[in-house]
Amino acid sequence: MTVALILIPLAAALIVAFLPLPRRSTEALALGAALAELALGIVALIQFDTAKGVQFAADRLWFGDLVSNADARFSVGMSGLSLFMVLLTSLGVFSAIATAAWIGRARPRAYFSLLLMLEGALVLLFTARDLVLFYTGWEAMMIPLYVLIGVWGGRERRRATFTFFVYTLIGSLLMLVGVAWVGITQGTFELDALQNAGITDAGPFFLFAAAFCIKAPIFPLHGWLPLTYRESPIEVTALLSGVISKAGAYGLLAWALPLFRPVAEDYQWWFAGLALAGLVYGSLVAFRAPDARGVIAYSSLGQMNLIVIGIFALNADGFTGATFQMVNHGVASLAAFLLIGLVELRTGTDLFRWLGGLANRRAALSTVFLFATMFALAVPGSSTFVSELYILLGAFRFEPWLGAAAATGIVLAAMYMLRWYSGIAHETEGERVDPTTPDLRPYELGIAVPLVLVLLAMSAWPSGVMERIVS
Amino acid sequence: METLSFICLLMPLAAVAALALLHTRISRETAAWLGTGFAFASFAAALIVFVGLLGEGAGQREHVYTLYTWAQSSTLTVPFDILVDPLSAIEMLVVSGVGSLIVMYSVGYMHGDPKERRFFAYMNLFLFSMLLLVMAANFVLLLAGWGLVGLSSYLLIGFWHEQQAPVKAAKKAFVMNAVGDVGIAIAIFFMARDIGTTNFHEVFQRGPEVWSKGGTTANLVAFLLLVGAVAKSAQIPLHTWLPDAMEGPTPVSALIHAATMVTAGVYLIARAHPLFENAPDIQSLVALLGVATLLMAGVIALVQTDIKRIIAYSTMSQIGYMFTAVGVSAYSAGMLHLLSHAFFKALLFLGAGIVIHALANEQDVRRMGGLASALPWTTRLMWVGTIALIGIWPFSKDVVLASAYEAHSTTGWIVWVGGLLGAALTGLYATRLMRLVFYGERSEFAREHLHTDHGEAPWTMFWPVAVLGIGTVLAGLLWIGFGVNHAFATFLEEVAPNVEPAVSVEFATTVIAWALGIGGALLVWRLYERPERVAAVRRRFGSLTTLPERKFYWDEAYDLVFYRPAARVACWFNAVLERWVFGGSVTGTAWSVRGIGRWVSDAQTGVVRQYATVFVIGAVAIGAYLLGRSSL
Amino acid sequence: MITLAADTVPVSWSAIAPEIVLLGCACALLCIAVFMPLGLGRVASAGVAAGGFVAAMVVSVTQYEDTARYAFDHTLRIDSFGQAGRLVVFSAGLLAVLVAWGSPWLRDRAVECFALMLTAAAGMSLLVVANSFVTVFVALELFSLCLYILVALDVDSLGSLEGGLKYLIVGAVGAALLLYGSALVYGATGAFEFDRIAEAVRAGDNRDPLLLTGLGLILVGLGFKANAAPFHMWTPDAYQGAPTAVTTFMSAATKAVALVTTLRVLVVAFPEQSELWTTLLAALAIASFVVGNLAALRQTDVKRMLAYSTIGHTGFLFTAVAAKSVLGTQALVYYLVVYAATNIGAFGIVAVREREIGRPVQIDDFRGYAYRRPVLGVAMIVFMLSLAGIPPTAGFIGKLTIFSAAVDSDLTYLAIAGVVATMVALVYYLRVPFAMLDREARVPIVRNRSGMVPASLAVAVSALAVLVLFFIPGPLLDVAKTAGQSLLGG
Repeated sequence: MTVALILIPLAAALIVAFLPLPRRSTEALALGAALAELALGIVALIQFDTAKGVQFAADRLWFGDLVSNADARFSVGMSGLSLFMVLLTSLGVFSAIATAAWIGRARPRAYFSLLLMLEGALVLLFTARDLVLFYTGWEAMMIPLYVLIGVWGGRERRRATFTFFVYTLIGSLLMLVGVAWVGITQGTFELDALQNAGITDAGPFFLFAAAFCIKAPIFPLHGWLPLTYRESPIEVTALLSGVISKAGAYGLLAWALPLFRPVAEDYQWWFAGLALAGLVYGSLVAFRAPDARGVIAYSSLGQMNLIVIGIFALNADGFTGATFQMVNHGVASLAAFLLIGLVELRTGTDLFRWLGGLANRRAALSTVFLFATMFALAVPGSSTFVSELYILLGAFRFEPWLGAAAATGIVLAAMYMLRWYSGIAHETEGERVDPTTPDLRPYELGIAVPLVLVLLAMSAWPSGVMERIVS
Repeated sequence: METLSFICLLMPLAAVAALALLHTRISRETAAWLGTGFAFASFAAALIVFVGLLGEGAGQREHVYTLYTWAQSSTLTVPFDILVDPLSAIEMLVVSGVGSLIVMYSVGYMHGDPKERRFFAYMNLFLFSMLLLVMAANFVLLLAGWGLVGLSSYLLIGFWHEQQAPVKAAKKAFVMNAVGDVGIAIAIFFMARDIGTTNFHEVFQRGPEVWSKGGTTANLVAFLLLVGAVAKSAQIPLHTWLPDAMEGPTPVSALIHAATMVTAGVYLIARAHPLFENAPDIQSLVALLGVATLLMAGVIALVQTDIKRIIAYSTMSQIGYMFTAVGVSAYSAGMLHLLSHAFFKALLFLGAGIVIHALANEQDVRRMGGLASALPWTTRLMWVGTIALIGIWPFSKDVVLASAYEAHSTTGWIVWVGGLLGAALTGLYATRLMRLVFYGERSEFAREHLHTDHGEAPWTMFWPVAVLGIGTVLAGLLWIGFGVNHAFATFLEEVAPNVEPAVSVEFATTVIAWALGIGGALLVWRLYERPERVAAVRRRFGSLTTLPERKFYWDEAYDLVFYRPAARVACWFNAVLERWVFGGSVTGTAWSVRGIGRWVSDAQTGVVRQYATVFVIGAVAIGAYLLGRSSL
Repeated sequence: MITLAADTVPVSWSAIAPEIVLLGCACALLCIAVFMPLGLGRVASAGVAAGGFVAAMVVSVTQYEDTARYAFDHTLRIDSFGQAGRLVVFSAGLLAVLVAWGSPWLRDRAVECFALMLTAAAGMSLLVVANSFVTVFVALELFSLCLYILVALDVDSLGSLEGGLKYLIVGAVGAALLLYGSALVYGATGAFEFDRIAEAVRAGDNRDPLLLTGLGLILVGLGFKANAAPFHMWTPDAYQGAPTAVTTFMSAATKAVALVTTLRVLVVAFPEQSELWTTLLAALAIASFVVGNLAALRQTDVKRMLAYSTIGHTGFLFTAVAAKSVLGTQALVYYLVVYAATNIGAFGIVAVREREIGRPVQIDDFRGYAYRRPVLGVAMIVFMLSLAGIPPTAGFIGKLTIFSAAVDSDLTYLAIAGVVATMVALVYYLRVPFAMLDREARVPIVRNRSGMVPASLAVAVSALAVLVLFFIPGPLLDVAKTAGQSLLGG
């Protein structure tokens, strides 16, 4: 099962890349592959047994006794968290491909095959049970990204790519040293064996944490974020904020903490404090960002830091909330960014000073945007609200003041998200919006509505996710 | 009964779904009536549940129905369970009853609006949220409802989002309420941490045990809940959003910002009274805030010129009364006032709506006048509402004061005095409104724009108002008689106890209150008989009026203290930190790296002599190192 | 004792069988040159050369065994470590022949070119098993001289001649220092053979200035061959100027040989001074990291860029050597194989592109290339990723093993340095994929098919190797491990 989930996109990527098909068929092929992946993911969800822990496992030797007899194994499997991360990935890539096809990207074969490669790498890193394998997925994920941004990005794409990969590579290469270190000292790369290693050396922990915290990103390591989110093709931005940022949080949860629990406890305050700063900072910046992308970019900076707060609360509520929020925020920001993409498609801009009034006489658009907004600002009753509540509760249990302070993020979120919504949708039409600007087309609804439905479903029954994701 | 309760809760939601799915497949009218129908269905269910409760013996009237586990972690589980007991039953009745009447009224009022369908969807969404709020059996679910009513209020205030004002008002309302939500959220954290659950029953039972009476935590929890209540019920200091909320369509003002949502704060305090009883200081804070609000709002209402804003301020001031009530633990008195207020305030708003409708959406009372002849029935109904508002027997508000008096505490005294003053103010502004709108000679504008071709109003608009009028009277009758343990109080006793004022006190208070109220009314009447008198007063107190006209500068203060600084800091972050520090960091590094790169590759001149030199230098360096380490 | 009476030394032909094969083929080529018409001669010579390399490979494979043995009285040490080195050289030669085929400058110099390559290969394959400084010097000179000529072989191009000349001059200095160094060592220990030097040192003073100076000079000589900074400066000119096929061969084979020898010399002859030369290697490694990667940033000519990148990689290889452990050796061998494959592939593509546009290849000449020739384009991307050490390419495993070795021998700081270097490196490596996939560009591709097939074959083989060695690195790692054990024991 897991292996299939990894191989489907990779195989599809190869086929799409080398099969000289016309644009339409290429798109259809890519979309089909993504859909198949999604379907398989749902099958996995149905078959997943909360009682059983890691499931759909596959394990064989990759290369043996390299360093002090540590085997690198091709060992994959799904914990509850992995499962939902895989689902998020497949959902995200599916809607990304759909959007890309709608926008009509240049060089479709290369573009889609890169997207599918990205998906394969992501699934690999979310399901890997072996450190080397995890690292492989981690690095393999970067390359398609660099190319997607560097080749298909906006005007400043080169600078964006450069910034992005300098930041991310510092992290991931340092992590490589960390991987080597673990192999040498622990004599194994396997997660199950390392699960309760309880390593107490701080140095290696930071080698790992660097990678994850940059990817998430934790304040003040977010220097790459704004430019990248603004310059990437919109669906890539959506993936970055929706799925890939979660890889960082996942790394912390699934690898850094289990391996280095004692160190994490020593530095708990540092991480929680920085994350709190990031939450407030990101929210404030988002509140004054001049462009729609900027708002969501910084809001997801804030949200990721909130998640990190939840993680470093180091208690059950924090973990539950953080993991659930990873899913929620993933879907929500996917929706938000893809919608921005549809607006850019109509108006060619995402600057508030040229937008506005898109809700007038555009029922579908205004409604979908409304949902995106409300989930992004975690209106009480929404799934995002539940996850944030648990994160904050976790933080509160760890340190009441921290929880209380972080709770102010809710107000700030309301401020910038409402500004975002109104800036695009409300009041009189902006310069770039004319009365003929069309409402969402059925195809576009086909992209956006599923995301909204997923969020609604999770709001109606949060524990459906919560009880599985922590197992 | 369980099924019925859930029907009552979910009917409006079903309406939302139906309207969303059917969308344009059904005509505007059908959509409107569909929305109304579901609302009435919900009301019917509520009624049956209520009767069912009456049927049960006192003491067995508390039912908790669990649907499923909503959210869970290994340490906190939140069931989706609803609570049906006298308190929530009454709220259910008010919400669904007044609600469905107002929805019906909207059929006429919103007729012809391009977004009619959406409007009814939103209204039903509100009804669902409000019912969720009052039926929730744990704080998390309550908070969910709490936030969702905020959402629907945001949507409905900003319903006409083509203009700027409604959008701004809507945002303001949402953000201020978000502050309240945070308050409740943090209170929930305390419960989760110290009690391990947020279910009302356990919290109210164990709360007073784990949190010592008057202790810090007890006070904190109560205070945080109060923050939520204050924000939702537009009490000082989080009240500034309510007047602006009048930008929404009038039915919205009637339903959300008069009858139901804004009184949620009162409900919350009444519901959570064990926690407030456990924190006396906070409780008196509740009362004092109430007094302050009711006085300030009353004064502001005196000088407002927008008909809806006048009523809005009166709402604030009436809720102030309710706060004072629950602040002196006269819970059922507060709830009674909530109930009757729901009727008469909705009545006033809808009446105002008819006026506005008849005057081509004009809201300025100075451009009205002498409409009594044109709108006779509206006038009569408005009078009913006004009398109730002023609080002439049997319409009660004086019980509140009586109870306060009974409290025999400083707070009690302040409340008593303040409340009586408030009664006078109420008399003044209420009568002023009636006088300006319906009597005197017709203004220029009114003569031109008044159109009553199809009677006073379409029947869908008129009859709800009429029914509300009846409701107002009946609500008043619920509290007939002094000292007798009234049906209402007894019904609420087990959930929201009441202090039973001595007959004498109640009688005295009542008399004084009437005197003041009627006195104020007559004063205004006399004053406005001759415009020059008004002018004279203005000349006299002109300087005094600016303060209330500027609403005591609350908005300006908030702007200065919170909004501006936050915005400025944010701008600075954007312009400086992001641009130069974080954005610049990498670019800077890049430049320097490239620079060094240039230098290094320029060092490669291609001259062999140089190659050899470097080569030899390297060799010598190595040699030197080795010789240094040698046994030489 | 310098008089090694020849008759006392048993001649073991098997030890030098590959060299004999290669030199035999070289002679055969010369005959071809004399007796065959040019056109036919070209084909025949290519065939013979390829055959020669294959034969040499077969021989050394058949000879391959885990147990080490000395030959010619300790002047050679035939062990799996050396054999591995030989195999790298031969396969590099073979693929280089394929790449060379069809390039214009080869028209009337095919025979010479291939003859020289065979001879050079012979020299290299002797060097990797050399166990005595005499042999080292002889072998070194043998293949160096050939390379000098090969670099300058394209007499029509000024760059080629210039590169050759510079290589010759600086190379002469290098060789001289090496020779002088070995002389000093002999003076200090009275031995040329590595193992005997070690014994002598163990017996005597291991901080003898004479000895250490010798060691230093030897290190310089070897560092020169391994393109280590600051002895690297000939590299860009030679690599850029030389005919691409030659560059291919050099970058793969010379590198491997130089490092194999360096490791062998240091660990076998100077184990007592290990902490000294570890420090020096670390210093050289860091210098190479800095110089190579920074200078490469600004190059627009692909060959020159790769030349600088090769300097940068010396840093990694020296890290592996400095680890002086079985793990380090394992890492070194694995990395050398991968590195050879990667470079051959990359230069192969450059060669193809050169023939298409008929001038030196700039990075911009690759804009949008992946859309015109998907296979070559993707292959090039794979090679760049492998050079950067990013999965799914063998370069990643190589980097992982080297880092492990470094951490294992407390050289973590070198690993960190490598990390930084890689970051800088990615900046220029990734410029190639970006150009390759440039979404607007439409570069002209000329439909000249001369030599496309063999070159593409070489590229394909290397690309396949790079990928397969990622997914199934086990076998090679095992070989590398035994090689390491054969050298260090244990």
